Amino acid sequence: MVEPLERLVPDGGLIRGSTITIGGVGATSLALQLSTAASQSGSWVVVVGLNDLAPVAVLEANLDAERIAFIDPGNSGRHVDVLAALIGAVDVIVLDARLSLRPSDGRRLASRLRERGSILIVVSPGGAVNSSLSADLSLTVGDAQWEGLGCGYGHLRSRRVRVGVNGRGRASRMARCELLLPSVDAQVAIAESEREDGTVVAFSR
Amino acid sequence: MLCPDWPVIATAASADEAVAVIAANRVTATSPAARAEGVEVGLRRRDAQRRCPGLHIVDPDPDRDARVFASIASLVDQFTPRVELSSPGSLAFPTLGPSRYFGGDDPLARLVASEIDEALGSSGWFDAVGVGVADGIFAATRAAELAVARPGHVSVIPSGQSAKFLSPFPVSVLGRPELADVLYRLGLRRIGDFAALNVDDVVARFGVEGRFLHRLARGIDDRPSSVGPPPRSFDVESVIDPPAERVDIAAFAARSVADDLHDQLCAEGLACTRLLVVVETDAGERLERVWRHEGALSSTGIVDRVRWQLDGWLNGPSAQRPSGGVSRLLLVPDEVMPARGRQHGFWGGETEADERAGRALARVQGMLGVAAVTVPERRGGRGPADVVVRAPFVGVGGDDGQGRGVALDAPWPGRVPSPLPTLLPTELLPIQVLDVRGASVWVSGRGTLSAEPSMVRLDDAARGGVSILGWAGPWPCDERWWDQLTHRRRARLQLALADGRALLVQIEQGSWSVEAIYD
Repeated sequence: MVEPLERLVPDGGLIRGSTITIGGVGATSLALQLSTAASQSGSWVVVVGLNDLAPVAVLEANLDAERIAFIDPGNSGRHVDVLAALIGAVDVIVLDARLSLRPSDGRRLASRLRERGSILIVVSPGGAVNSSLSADLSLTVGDAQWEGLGCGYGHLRSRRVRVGVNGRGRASRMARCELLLPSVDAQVAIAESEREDGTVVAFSR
Repeated sequence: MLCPDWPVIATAASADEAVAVIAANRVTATSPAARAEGVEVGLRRRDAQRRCPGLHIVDPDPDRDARVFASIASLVDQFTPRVELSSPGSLAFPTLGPSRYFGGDDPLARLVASEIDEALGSSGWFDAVGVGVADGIFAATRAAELAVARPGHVSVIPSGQSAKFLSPFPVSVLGRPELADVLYRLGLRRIGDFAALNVDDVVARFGVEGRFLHRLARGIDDRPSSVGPPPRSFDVESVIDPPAERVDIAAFAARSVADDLHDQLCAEGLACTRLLVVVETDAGERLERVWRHEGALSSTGIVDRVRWQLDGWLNGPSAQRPSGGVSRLLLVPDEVMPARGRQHGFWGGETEADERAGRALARVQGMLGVAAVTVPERRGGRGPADVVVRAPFVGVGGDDGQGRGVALDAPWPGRVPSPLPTLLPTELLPIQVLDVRGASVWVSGRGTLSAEPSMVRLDDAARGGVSILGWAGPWPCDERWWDQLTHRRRARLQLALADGRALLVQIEQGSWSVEAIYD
């Protein structure tokens, strides 16, 4: 996982076999940043659904262009079969939350994930995740504030977001973190803010 | 037999038109009319267009080339049954038997040349073919290159004279730029100089590959000495039921057979250099072709060749088209060599994980169709949607290695400032951009806004307007103004909204729409 995101999750990285859900405004960027380190170290990232995801943004997030593929299941209704074929064969699967799963399928896929050690990231751009998959880790992006854009001048440079972390086991204690997503170099960074008493905080549990 | 302009001929262009095939921004084949204007192979697209403004540019398409070439290959079939295709545009056959029948190498070559020249001439492409006869395929190909420009299109090198014939060529024709560079700096500029070296010295300095090239240079044989017939039969076949009428269905069946063959050969430590592909239809028709490959055919390479062959047969001229669907597919490795093995990459390169992912993606393609699985591919363009597009996935690290060279550091005129938007709406999302009084904002012909935008209203009527916190623009964009059909004129506006969203909106022909979303 890229360095700024290590503090976000309890074990400092993505755990094989786990399911992560990401929702809210900024979910797409966070999902890409979460997959970057895995992609850089030679893992495949396959995106199922999310037909509106811009390939150019995927490259800007530093994912390895040789190890990424997009799958459009259309309205064939076969996305469950597709997921079953991918689990175990690729390391990171990014799934569009708009592709609905039956609870029984969700359980089957989750056990297959744990057995084969792939990571499933369920993304719901702009909205809350409403999936029958029970998440090991659920991230909610909110309170987005863009910087760099004035009224008639400048351009979007960075966005300050608040990410809520929730999940099972060690992640069950709700944590919050302020991130620059994207930061000025189009990557991700911890946003530090000054409290009224003068202490600098970025992370709280 | 060699046809250097084949990729151009296959496009069905007329011979007096200036046409160039351009792959990865470099000219790979040209028509004689384009050559007359100074367009050469290896030129960049822009230079080619500067030398010949009327140049018609075509994208490379090996499937098309192979499909059209099948008709030429069938012409040669009447002279000899053993036709080997190496790539679309060139084929080879052993002349020993046929030349005795036709009265020598020279008459045979003349017959083949005139037959093909006539066939090509019917579509206006006279003088596009060359036939060369020599001791090995390498020398014969050089001879055929020379023969294209000669009257009669034939050049026959007598047996045993190949080394002498090759000696004045520059070392670069050996097709190994790194080696040619080293040899050139060593003062060995002609093939003859290289051939004069002692074999032991060549092996000591350049290894096995050097020995192979040294053999080429001496005109002995162009196969690595280890090539030979397979120790046992590796034939694999697949019965397709119901018979496949379409190329993609048959090619899909070929994929599993090819993998099977590849695995069998791998288990014996062998790689295939020449392959016989036999297809049969349910009506009993049969088409055989021999394909050869300089290196070793990978399983994706085998599938490609089967697809080319089927494509030429099933979609070819109606006189040759089979009457039934493809019911049986047989792959017979004809010549094998010890596989040097493919070292899995330690950092980068092709790894076990790549192979696994490639297989899974191929399986998904089988479920959903080929176009459902895509990979990023760099294209030219100005908008964030044009610069990198989704192209169908072909294979991991295959012959055409996809995904390579997709980098964002290349020049991108009209670039939207970084960070780039992450979502591109798949359908048109109309939006209203309003000023403080609720009137619509527009952009004048000189690229100025009619008023400051203060809120937007997306088309779903249930939601009210969202106020704008910040905006930048308008950034005018005038694309392809020289072409009436594809001309686009629009202006972009970057908006940060009160609900935390940020949009890239555009106005085109007086109406606003969302071009991209920063999510």
